[in-house]
Amino acid sequence: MIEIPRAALTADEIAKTAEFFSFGTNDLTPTTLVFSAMTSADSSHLP
Amino acid sequence: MKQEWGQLVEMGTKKGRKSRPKLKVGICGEHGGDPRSIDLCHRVGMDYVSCCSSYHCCELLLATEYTPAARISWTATGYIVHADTMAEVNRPGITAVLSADANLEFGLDLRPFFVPISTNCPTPVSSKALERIFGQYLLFKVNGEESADVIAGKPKVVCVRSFVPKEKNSAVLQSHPLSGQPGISIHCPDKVFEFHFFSFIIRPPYAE
Repeated sequence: MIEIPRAALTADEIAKTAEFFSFGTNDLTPTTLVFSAMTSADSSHLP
Repeated sequence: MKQEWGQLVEMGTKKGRKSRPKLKVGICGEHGGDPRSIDLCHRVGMDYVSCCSSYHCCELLLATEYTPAARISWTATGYIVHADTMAEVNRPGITAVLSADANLEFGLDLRPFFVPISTNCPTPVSSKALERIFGQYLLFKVNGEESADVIAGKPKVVCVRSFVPKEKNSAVLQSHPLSGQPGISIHCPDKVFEFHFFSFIIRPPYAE
């Protein structure tokens, strides 16, 4: 799960081990933009 | 959509595939139910979107409205959302399912039209109820001998909307395109079927 910004930043490293990615944007969104996923669940706030 | 959106998922996808070229990449979150976000996911090269919340259904509408090049496939679990209730079908011969929890896979053909039913539904509802809801069309005609016209048209479900009443895309608020009444509408190439509570749009495949 890519759920924090750092995971996206280090995706190349993670992919050496991980066999698939799933972006967990309910967490990635608030950890990036500092607000909740439910209020941001549209395309204007995809991190 | 503002240019800055989607940079993290795009970068993550690219960097991941730099290390593992065939890396399968998807998204699981509320964005999986948002058409433009699904479009963005498609454009950055994801393999699927998953709408993890019962509050949003995958809006396959996107697949035609926003990404005409994409072919889509229901690949996931067998849920049907009935207003506030998730419904489960578990009946031999039924291959139809609409899912609030489906994955929308990009680049795959939509065959079969619906996926086999699976089971982990929190609030099972009898198949009888589903037959009432979806009637002959989805459960019987599509999968039975009577479905020749439907199969010939290779219909696709391209829009399943939220069933939460006050949500902006709620099917409850969705009006029938002809009657103007709230409820479900199923659009085939030359037909429109109407049910209650749901809103589906079925369109011919892109190849046609």
